[in-house]
Amino acid sequence: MNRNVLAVVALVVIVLGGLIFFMYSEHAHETGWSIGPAHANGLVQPIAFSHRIHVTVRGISCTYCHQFVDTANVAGIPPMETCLACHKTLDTSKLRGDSKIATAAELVDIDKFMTGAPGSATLKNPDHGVRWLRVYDLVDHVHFPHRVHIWALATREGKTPGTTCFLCHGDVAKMDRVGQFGGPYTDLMRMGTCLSCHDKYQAGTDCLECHK
Amino acid sequence: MDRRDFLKLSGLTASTLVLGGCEDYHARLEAYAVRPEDMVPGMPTYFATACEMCPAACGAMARVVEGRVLKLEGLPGHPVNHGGLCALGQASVQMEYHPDRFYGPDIRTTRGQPSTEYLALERTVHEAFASTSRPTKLIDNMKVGVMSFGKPDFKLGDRKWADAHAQTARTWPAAISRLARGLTSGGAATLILVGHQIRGHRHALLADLATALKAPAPVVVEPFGDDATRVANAAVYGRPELPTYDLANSELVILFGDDLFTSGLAPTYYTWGYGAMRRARPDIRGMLVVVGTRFGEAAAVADAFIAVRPGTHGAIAQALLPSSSGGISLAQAATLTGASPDQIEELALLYRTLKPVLAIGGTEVAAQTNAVPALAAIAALNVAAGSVNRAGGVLAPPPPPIADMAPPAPASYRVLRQWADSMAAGAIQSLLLVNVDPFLAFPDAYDLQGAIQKVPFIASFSTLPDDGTAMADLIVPDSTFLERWGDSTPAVGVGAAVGNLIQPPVDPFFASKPVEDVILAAAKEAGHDLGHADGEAYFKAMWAKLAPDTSVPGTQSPWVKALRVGGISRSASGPDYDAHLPILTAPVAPAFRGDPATRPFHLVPVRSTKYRNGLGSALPWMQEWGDPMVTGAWGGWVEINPKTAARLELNPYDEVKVESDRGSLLLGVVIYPGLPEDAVAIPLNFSRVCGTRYDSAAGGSVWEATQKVDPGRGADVRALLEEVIEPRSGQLAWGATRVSVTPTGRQVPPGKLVLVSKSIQAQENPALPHVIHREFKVWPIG
Repeated sequence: MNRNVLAVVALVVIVLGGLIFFMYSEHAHETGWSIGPAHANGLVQPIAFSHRIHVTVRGISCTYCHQFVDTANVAGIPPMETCLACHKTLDTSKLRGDSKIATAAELVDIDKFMTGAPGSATLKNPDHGVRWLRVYDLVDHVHFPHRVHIWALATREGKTPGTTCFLCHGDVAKMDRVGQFGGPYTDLMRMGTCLSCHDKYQAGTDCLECHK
Repeated sequence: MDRRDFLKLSGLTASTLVLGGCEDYHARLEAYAVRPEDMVPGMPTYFATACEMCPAACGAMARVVEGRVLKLEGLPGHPVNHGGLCALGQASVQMEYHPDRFYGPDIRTTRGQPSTEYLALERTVHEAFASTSRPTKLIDNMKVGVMSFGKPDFKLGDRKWADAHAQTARTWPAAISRLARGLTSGGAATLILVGHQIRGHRHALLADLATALKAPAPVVVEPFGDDATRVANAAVYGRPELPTYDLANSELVILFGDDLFTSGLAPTYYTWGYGAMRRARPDIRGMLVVVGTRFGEAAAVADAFIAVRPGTHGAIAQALLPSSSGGISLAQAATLTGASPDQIEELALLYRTLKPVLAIGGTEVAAQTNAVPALAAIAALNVAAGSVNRAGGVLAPPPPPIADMAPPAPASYRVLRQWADSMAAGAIQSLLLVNVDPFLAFPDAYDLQGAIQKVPFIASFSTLPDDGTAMADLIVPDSTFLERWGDSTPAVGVGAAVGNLIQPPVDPFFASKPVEDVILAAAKEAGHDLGHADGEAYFKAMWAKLAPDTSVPGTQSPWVKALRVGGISRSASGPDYDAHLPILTAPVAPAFRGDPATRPFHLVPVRSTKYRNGLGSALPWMQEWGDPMVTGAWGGWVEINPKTAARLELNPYDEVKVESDRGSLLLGVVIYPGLPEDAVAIPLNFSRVCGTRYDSAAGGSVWEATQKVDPGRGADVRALLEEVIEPRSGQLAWGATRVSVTPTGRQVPPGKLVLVSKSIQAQENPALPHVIHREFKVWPIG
């Protein structure tokens, strides 16, 4: 094959590969050019918090921590006092035994959290909370009241509020690291996903239903 | 370019593209360590409190979302505002997030120059802002004054912000010590000047401080106060207080001067009363007649407007009075005022026919050298009509629920000038400016700056920079009324005994402190323990004076109940007035300073509904809002009658030099037919030398403003005013100046004058008469 043809093919492969990689990247998701769910494999958070351990192993319900999910627009990130309600009396050796993915470095972070080491999140300095990475960051021009959706889904699916989270967020109870759910609707944070669900449940599809 | 270079460049481009996508970008969510118990993310919490932007003392309801106040609305059912809130009150949220707010205390070694420590602090705060998760949006929003803190991760979202807050807080002990030394050095020669926000027990605390120092009682400074009204009221009603005008039950209201609904002492109360007068009674629609020089907002909703020459309002009142009380003939009144005899006769017919009738004198009357006799004649109309101590007339205001909450009377200009002279003479050693910019109350004709500079120590308690803070040795950043405790009572009667309890819906945005906390700490350090730990403890102790209602078992304490509903109130009236009909002399002619030959125009300073008593000019919403009558925004302008404009060949936006014997201003022209041909009107926009970026000629933040002090004040009418004092009350006669108007041949620079609507300019028909007179529509009585 002609070397020129090879060069052109190589160039096309490089450019297209770069574009596909770019469009799959998390930055592309944030800028709206994504072709897939962002960080689908889960984010590495500042603290090695495992939803699997807390929900499946410990049997804690979603609404124990995300306590505003059925009463407010946002589910709410639990304050550290909620964590410490259990972790104050937690046997950390048992915690290590439970953990499947926590690295040693991450466990050090947990120890810092527990002991109030300098620079860590601690109750001794209430201005310093944990800086979680945001998994779902909806664009500013859209309303998404959790409260409304939780109750609507519970009614339509015949479930109680707080047990319908998996419909949108996937089976969080099995996730050690939580990423955006790429389930039946491919990408939760796309408008098409909203519309397909609104169609399915016969919710309104007028622009001002969601857009500010 | 050969093929190899092309391939290299293509590969480099593709690699850059790919690497660009590898950026680790994530929004952050910062969790509380301990969440406030009343905080639900995304859901508002409402707090009952009171507005302090003017002396009206409206009840307010603050909408707070995640620790940030986002909206202020009127408190439903409040006796002053009945659920409404004026534009200034609604814009008060911008005080909270003002980009030029003082970040922390500033101990200055050179007056007008921020200390290096403060500048370092300011840099830290700016860096903290810059490192927030959405810095651009946040800071841009603050710059344009748009409240859009929809994201919950702002304040707690960055540790630098918390660190800056903590660093600022550490500067407080030194500032309090500096204040304590100032109080000690001042002693009995300490002068405390306070603004209208220092009311209720805040005023009582400062009075306690003055007593402890053996210093004079705090002096209330109100720009262009109501001294003449108080003197006239004392002469006619027997007491100087500002009464309750019961518009709601009146059948005829005659306003002399035109600012009751917009820039008076209680615009929301009077606006509610006006609405009730018009619509609340099924068979009666009350009538409103305005007698004034300038056609303003009240005239726009009146049944009739009678245009009079400046300072002649009292003659119309005297024409309605019986001759035994000094009444004059209709013809004489017409000659004096320029109004037509038919108009006055028709008004006289209404005055005799409709009951109850209510006559109210406004600041247009109070601004003249004949203010007291004119206001006394207006008050006499109420006595002659039997409207005093009667529903629909003039009622005595009840005492406040707690005795020492009574609103303090502002000092007259004469008294203020005496204190200023004392400063100039070196008799004042320490000056405390508490929520007040004294320059607003003085015309530039008096050298207040020279007087204040003689005071060895000046401390200014303020939220925003102004000309007073620029003179201070110590800046004490005061918390806004949304961040601190307080209480207040209305400055005027509202038909009820009202005691507002102001509670802090939010924590201070910056590391400011309430005046009470600082005063209590500094006084203690200076050896004058005032007996309270901080402001909250102080107000709790004061409100504990209220006896709990024990008639109902389990009733909440007055404090808890007041927190829930914003204070306490009960319908009441004070002891009846011992009013008598005065015997008036012939109408006193107003005096004007300036030769009519060289200064052919009367200057009519207009108390603007946008800027009010000065606080409004610092807020961008108020600047942006178009004036209700001429739609002017952002700064000042001069209103000129169309005939005059045609004679001077002036068009809108033309620049003119308005000059008095005291000074001159360059202003843009607004052609407005609601003025006499021989008068020009300029709004009081209270621009400053060293104010915020919105109200000063210098602009910029405090350190920018003080670094480049602008010798010009922008376009404030105080530069033109003669220092003429009304002889009977000591009030500044700020409508007694004559000016000349000279076209410069230029147009005002873009942005210096914004007319939101051109419709008013469409009326610039030179044939339009200067008197706007609507036909009377006498409605069936009963």
